[in-house]
Amino acid sequence: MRLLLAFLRRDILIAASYRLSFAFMLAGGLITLTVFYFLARTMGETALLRERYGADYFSFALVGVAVASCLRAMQTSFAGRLREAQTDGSLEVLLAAPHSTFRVIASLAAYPVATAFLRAVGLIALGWWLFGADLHLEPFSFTVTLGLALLAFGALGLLSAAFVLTFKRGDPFTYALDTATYLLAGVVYPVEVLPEALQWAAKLLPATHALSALRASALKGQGLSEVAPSLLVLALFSLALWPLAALALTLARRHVERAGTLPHA
Amino acid sequence: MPEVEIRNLKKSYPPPFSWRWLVGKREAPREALAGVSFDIAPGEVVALIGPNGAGKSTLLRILTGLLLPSSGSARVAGLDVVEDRPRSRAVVGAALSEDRGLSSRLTVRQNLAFYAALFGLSQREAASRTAELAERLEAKALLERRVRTLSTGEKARVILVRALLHQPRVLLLDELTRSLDPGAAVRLRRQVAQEVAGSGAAVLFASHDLSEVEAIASRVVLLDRGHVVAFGPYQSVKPRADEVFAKPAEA
Repeated sequence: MRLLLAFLRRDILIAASYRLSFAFMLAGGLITLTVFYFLARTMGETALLRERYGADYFSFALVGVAVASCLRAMQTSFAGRLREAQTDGSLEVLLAAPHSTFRVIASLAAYPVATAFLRAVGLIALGWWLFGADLHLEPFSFTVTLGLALLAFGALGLLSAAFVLTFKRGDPFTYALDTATYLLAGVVYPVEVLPEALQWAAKLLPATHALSALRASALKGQGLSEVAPSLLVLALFSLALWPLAALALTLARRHVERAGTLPHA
Repeated sequence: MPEVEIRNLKKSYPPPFSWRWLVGKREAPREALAGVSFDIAPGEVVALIGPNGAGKSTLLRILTGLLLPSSGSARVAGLDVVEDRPRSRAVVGAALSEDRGLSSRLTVRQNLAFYAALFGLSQREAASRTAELAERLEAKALLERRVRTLSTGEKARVILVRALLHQPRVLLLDELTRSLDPGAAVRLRRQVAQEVAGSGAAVLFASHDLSEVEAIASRVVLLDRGHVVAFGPYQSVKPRADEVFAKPAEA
């Protein structure tokens, strides 16, 4: 915990040294909300969304955008921060400390993940308060689902970090998965409007199940028992991906220590 | 019992991947260390010298726990650098040549507080240790300055403070004074010697500067192409070192 707090403290201090960063983040959030608000007004009431999700388009998109940004942070921050540490030369110093590779990489990503989480909470709060989003949040079910979704995406993030540690380049699979998530998983439009073949493809993405369950909890107030099928799928993703991620990270560290490429950018 | 114990340590770097492997043409591994053995006693300062590519940085990185040896063993403060990781890293303080790693937007004090936490020091321990070391290593005036405003010599001083924060039993320095002007280098090496005399840490430092080696090392390891070609007090190693450094670099 002390390690995590040390990284968080350092990264908050660095972020605070860029004085306008918070203002830009707030402005970005407001612009996003405004765009979706007027888009929703243009579209008007949609039967599909009302029947399937119990909400208007603005509320539907609000949950989608907020949650997707959190999941994306989990999926990309480990590799992103690792790559930064490779290029600024700090990775060697960090890995020379008496901690496992996992702890160091997880701590490196703590700040961007925490920021994305706060941003998502802020978006939902502003969307509800300023733009009148129609939310019926079931907090327990929402929290459990979000936790399971972040767990599954954390494993994907660590797989990506293992790739970056080995090859010193961004992981193409992560970008492909990120693109597929935004195209198919129902972030800003419902999966039901996709052609049937793509709807099947969407079921292979963890984000589809996460968004479905989180919308059910946030928009229709559904409890754990109602979102259980999605939770089961997310748990299965985690069970399959975590051992793979742990193995990939161990092999990546061993590879760079054998090849002597740890200090290379 | 020696604080650093190196036995028949070998390291070969595998060749980088090439498509020529597919037609059976594979380059041989590059040998960096070919059976290195020596000990360092507590409180002893040993210099590691040799031409470029002799294996100095490889040896320091293995002791830091950042590189796996191909065979042989190395122990620091009784801990095996491979088997006992990551615990073995806790007893080592390192300032490696490509060691940047300081956040340029933070002050020196903020950077040091982060690294102290990384090595398990509480905030109170970190503050008192930083104050002590900054006083002794003439870095007190640097503490509130942002790293981006420091000169190369000042950064080297900060990196030395950082390496000493957690009171390591083994200190590894890779050409710490390389980019310093002669005056700054003399001051820094005098401070390293004083600090070590006070702490009892074993020190292994790589250097190309023979005057530095003569000034602070009690013994010298001369490496050439991964072999220890001489080991002993500076005066006994110097003739062999002159021969090694006079040789033209291998193509």
